[in-house]
Amino acid sequence: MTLRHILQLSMLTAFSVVSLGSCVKGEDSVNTRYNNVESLWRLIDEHYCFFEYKEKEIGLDWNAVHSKYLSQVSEKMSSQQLFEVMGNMLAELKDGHVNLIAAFDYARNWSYFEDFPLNFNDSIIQATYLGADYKIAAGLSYKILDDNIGYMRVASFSDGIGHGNVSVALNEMALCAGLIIDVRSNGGGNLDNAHTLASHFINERTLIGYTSHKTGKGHYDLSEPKAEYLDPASDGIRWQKKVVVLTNRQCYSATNDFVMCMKTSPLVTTMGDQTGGGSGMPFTSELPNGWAVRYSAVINYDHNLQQTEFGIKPDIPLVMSGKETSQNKDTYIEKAREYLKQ
Amino acid sequence: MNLQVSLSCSKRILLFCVLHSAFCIMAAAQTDSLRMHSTLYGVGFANVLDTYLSPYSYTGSDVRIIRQTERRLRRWNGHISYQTLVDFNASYTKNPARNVKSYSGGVLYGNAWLYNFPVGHGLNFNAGLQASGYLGCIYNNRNSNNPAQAKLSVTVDLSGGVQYSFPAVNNRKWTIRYYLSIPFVGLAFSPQYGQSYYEIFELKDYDHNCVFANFVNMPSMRHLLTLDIPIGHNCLRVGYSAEFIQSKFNGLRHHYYTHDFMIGFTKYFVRK
Repeated sequence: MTLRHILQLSMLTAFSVVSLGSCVKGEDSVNTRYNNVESLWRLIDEHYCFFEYKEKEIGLDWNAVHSKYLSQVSEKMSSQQLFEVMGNMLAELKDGHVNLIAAFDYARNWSYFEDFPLNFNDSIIQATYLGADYKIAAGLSYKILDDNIGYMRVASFSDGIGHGNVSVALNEMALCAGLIIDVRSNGGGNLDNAHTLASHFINERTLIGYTSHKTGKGHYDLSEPKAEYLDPASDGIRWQKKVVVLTNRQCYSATNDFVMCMKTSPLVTTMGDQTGGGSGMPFTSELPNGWAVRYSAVINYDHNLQQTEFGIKPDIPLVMSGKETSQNKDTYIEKAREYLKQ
Repeated sequence: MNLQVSLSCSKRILLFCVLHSAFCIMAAAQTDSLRMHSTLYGVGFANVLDTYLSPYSYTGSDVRIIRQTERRLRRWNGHISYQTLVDFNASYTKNPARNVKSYSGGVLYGNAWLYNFPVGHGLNFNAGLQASGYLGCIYNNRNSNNPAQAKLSVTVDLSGGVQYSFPAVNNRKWTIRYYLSIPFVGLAFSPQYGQSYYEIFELKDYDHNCVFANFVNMPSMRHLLTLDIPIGHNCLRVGYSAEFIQSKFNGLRHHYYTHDFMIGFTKYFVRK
């Protein structure tokens, strides 16, 4: 063996040692009560995107949360007790997109709508407005009301909505004086479905908001907000008459985004209660014991670069009338009809 | 470490492909004296970590297919050999709590130029460079907006090995081969720390997604140890493949360790 051979072998060995010496490892997966809580706290600490905003808005102190809840942990706790402590810890974030998911329970903070009047009664909608002869195009239920106002109910954005579906519905209501889009109690779904529907109510490429993601473990490590545009629907009908969007506190996540998009259109007026918010895009992770964790990872701002995490105020606030409810009438729809006929 | 170069990511990959193609054409233009084809099939174990999907390592089973072609060129006194490698693997793994499944896999394509140093007594060393490209994916069946992670890289690897032939049964020569490659420098794709694929593909929001990769932020190794046993005109090849693929890009940690026991056949062609 010559000196050259020895040098070559040495070089390969040296690189092998460098490579072996720098193992890339995961987190400690020891399944103890303490490590599960510590892992949950650290996961949120390093990945949650709203710390800066929530420190200002609700005085969130995540380090204080660590002290408060770690002191409640004992290795003798049952799984249910551990789940309760961890669920309470996550509830400090006041975020409907933050959840702890075990086989026996689903920890959540739904105070964004549970602390407020619902302002929606599905039975009245079915009995008085939709009846039995309404039409359904994918996730859209629609009907022309007696006074020639179009009514479209969107209960969820989880069901697929295509441009063809929207165009069929809008074509049916083309001669109406105006259109009501009722997204009350729509908890969200697929963002693409929300954007598909909204694209039929704009006529030009429109700035609908900005997005920003985490760039590191620090609470304030966020990317520069990137503008997000929505193009008008290239296929099918684009609505050119007045539109009222009805909202309540259960309008969350993709529905909050839909309302954000619709508010950029001059044709659109929002009426009702404030939306529930939920402007963070949730990611999923997990704990050593296998429980899933959902948390907000990407921020969506509105077109004025303002946060909508805690909801979007309506252009015209409304409160459901008990008197009308007792007459099987929906105050929101009645007010929207009056507004569209003006 | 991220280096921002003036060339765009797509141009850099294109430049790599052009150079790589030139090397391949040069190799093809050389007349060869000895050619070896080998196809190996293997099963083994996998350990997969990607902190974009989960902070914990997933473990499970792995299958692998390796197609290797080697040609000894006549030029430079027959000291140069040219090797083509196609290495496919797929893994099925579970999290530490064993309640979440993950599917991962990828394909590596590499071309290596190796300089041989015959020592005598059946012993030969070789060393050189390998240009390789890797395309892979990890899918987690529970995650919602971060269900998968794409793996794409083009690298120049340091590679080399040792071969030892010795007379065994019926005085026919058995050959032990060991091959090692270490990614040295290249380019790799990675999302930013908390970036969603929705932002990358729908909003075209690129944030350090093309990363300068090197042996510090991608400390990886591929080992292949085989034994050729002559049977008739061919050779039965048995072996062991170990891959230690690691990266630390944009604050995201990844490793993909596999250990596979391989078996297959090798054919040798000699031109006179």
